[in-house]
Amino acid sequence: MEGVYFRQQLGEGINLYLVREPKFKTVSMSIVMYRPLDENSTGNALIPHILKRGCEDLRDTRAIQRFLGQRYGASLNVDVLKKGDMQLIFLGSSVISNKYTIKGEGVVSDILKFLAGLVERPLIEQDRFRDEYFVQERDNLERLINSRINDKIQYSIDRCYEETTKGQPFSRYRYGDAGDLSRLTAEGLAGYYRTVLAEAPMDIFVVGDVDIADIRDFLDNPPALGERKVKCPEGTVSPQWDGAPREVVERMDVNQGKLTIGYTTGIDYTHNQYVPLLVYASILGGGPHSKLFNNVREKASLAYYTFARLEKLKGLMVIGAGIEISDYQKTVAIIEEQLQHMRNGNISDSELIAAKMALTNGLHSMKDSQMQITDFLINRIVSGHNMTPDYLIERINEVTKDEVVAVADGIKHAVTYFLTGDGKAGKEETR
Amino acid sequence: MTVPVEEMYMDRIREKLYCSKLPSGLEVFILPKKEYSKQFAIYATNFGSVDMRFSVPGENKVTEVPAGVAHFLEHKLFEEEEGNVFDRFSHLGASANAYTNFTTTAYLFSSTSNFYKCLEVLLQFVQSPHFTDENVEKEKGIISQEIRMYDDNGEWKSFFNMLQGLYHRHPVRVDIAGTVESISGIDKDVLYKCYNNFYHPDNMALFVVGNVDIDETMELVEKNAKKNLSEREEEIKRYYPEEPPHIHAERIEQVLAVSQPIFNIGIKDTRVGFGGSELLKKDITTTILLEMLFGKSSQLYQRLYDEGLIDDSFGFDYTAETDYSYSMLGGESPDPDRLYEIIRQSVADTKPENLTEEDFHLARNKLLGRYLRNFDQLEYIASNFISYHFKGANFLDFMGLLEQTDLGSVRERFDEHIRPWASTLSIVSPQQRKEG
Repeated sequence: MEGVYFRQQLGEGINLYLVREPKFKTVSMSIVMYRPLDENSTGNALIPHILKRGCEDLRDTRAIQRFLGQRYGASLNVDVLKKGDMQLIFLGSSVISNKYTIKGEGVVSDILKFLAGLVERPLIEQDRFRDEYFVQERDNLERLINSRINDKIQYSIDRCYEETTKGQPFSRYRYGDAGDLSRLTAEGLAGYYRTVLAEAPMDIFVVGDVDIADIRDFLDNPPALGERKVKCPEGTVSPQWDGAPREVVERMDVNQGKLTIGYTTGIDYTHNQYVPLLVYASILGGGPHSKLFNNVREKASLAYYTFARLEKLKGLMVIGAGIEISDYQKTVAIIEEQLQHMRNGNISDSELIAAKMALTNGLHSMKDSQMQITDFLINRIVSGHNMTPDYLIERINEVTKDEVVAVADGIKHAVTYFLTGDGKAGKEETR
Repeated sequence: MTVPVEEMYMDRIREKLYCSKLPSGLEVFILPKKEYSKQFAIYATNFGSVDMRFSVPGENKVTEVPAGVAHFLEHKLFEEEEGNVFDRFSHLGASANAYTNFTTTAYLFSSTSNFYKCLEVLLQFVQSPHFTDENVEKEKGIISQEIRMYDDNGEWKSFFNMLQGLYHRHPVRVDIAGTVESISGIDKDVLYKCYNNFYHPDNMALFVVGNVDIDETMELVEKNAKKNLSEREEEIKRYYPEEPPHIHAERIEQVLAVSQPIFNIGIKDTRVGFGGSELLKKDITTTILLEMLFGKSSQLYQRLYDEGLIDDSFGFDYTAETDYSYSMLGGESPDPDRLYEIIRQSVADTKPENLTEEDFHLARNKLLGRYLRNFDQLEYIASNFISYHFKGANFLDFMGLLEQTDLGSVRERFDEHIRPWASTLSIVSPQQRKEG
């Protein structure tokens, strides 16, 4: 893509991407390892959290935090990402650019080596992760998995997608399954991590005001991962719902009902209708210009938030709205009506234009965010598409109403998921 | 150009800021960042949820308004006689939004094209209220759903319960959006009353950042900003009830559908009643102090983490406002009561001399890094600049003040603010833990 200033293979299945953007005062660095989303998902989720606790060079959190503190409080964040049918082990850091340090000292290369050290030289002693770290992080992960109910909007979306892809890899939760945790051991997981190091494709992303010279000593001493036999996870499959939609009702002690409707589109990144699908979803529910916003919220006053959102790597769509529990039927009917308008081509020129402009504005804005630049690169790698932001902008502007309407044919209503009250919520609460 | 524009260059961050004041009292700030694709503008008024009692300049009468008015007004300004402002921004390809917090209401947009047209729309719509009985009524359904959404949000509830524990009377203890009940009392007359008082240009500011031209921006602002008003001689008087220095409740607990307890610990600051760069200094000193006491490189953090009492959700923050200030710690914990006890004990055992020079430098560098990191986000710069501006401080002085801060002032702050331990523990838990 344009903007990728530099790409270098550092080893078997290890690539470094450098995007040089002098406008940023910080440099964002990430290391990503790609795994299939399978029965190891809980282990994959646990690994980065154990890695962040220490490595051979810096053996505990305090040592790490002092190291980062001395480099202007560089951040450290670890996570797993769910990208289509893959799960990505992610370690990232952001540090101020060498140009802004007090004495002009270099910090970027230090941080890059530090991140690689966490991955490359984990604290594995006698073939096991340090017990203390393993146990603490396993317990933290259990709490993290259980806390997914706390964010009711995200929980409803995740649950709706799970029901839409039941029995398929994508139905696995990003952080795995709490039920797996008792089966994991410090030894077993260390052994598995050796496999990850040997097999997983690895990418390193560096975005910011940085020159090759700034990271030269990292490039000269790239991560040594030993004997590698790289296995690329298989590509993502876009499902097609076949049959009548299912209805799923879940009860919880809530004040507001979360209505969430899942659809299969059959269109992913590489499909020739991908760009019209973007426009379709934007007209339907991509912001204040959309049919859902104007009809569910503005005209009917049924909701504060309502949207249509795509899971682009998987070709899924979800519609969401937070509503009064008793307004369920009324809201479903209005949403149905909007989908019917889309099918019938009741789309005004102004809706089409607003949707296109919102999308292109988003793509232009992406260039101002290091996180979004990294994410765009990761999505390209995972999906195997090679579209640039500028190409997408050009294509979006060419999309016709007919192309948008043609997308509607393939959209299949799969699941209606409703998170509703159990009659216990304190509705009479006053202050 | 008719109005003079002052240029300020900030060496450490290599940015230039252009400032100007129109005869109407409106202050305008432009921070060009030409290499960015985006432009971002905020048009804000110094009017937030805590401004519930005030008198209009020239009037002696005190006006009282229901809780949630500032936020309600924010919703309603988006409505025009002919439809919705969002549509106009959409057709220009920009993304518009607004927010209301305790002290500020802000209208904003982010664009990558048509910036000057967007800016014109922003100025116009904020300057043209259109409230009718009907459209005010309609909004109550939408806002009720917004309130309901927050009622299910454990973190939000824990935060507000903490404020209710800290404050006896100050309106910061009242939810920003009000309650379903309080907003039922809002009508178009209340909205116009607040609008005419607080949306006067002398109580507002415009901040523009990103890929913009200074002259063109200034010219457009001068042309479109309200001209028929001149700066009022008197300031708006705002009345806040007298707030005792001690806290209102030590422990507050609420049951919600959450997986494990969510907690907030609030520490009330009694050195309040001033703004300006003194306030920014206090903010910086206290933030360094909190970093030294509770940051990831502190012994206390390590202990709490090792005991499984905190996880990555743990965080802390200092809020510095003219009339109220507090420190806050929060996150999820399986046992907030035990966590609270350990923190309280640790603070009691800490003497100012335990705060070392080395830890101080580490914390200060961290803050410097964080400030620069946030400078890569236009939205962050704009909203922070506006927020400090209304408190009489310049956010771009941050680096200079940070570099001047010394360990002595941090130790003093510890004695003054943390050691007295005027604190509240707020818990939102899956089931009742003990009698609150």
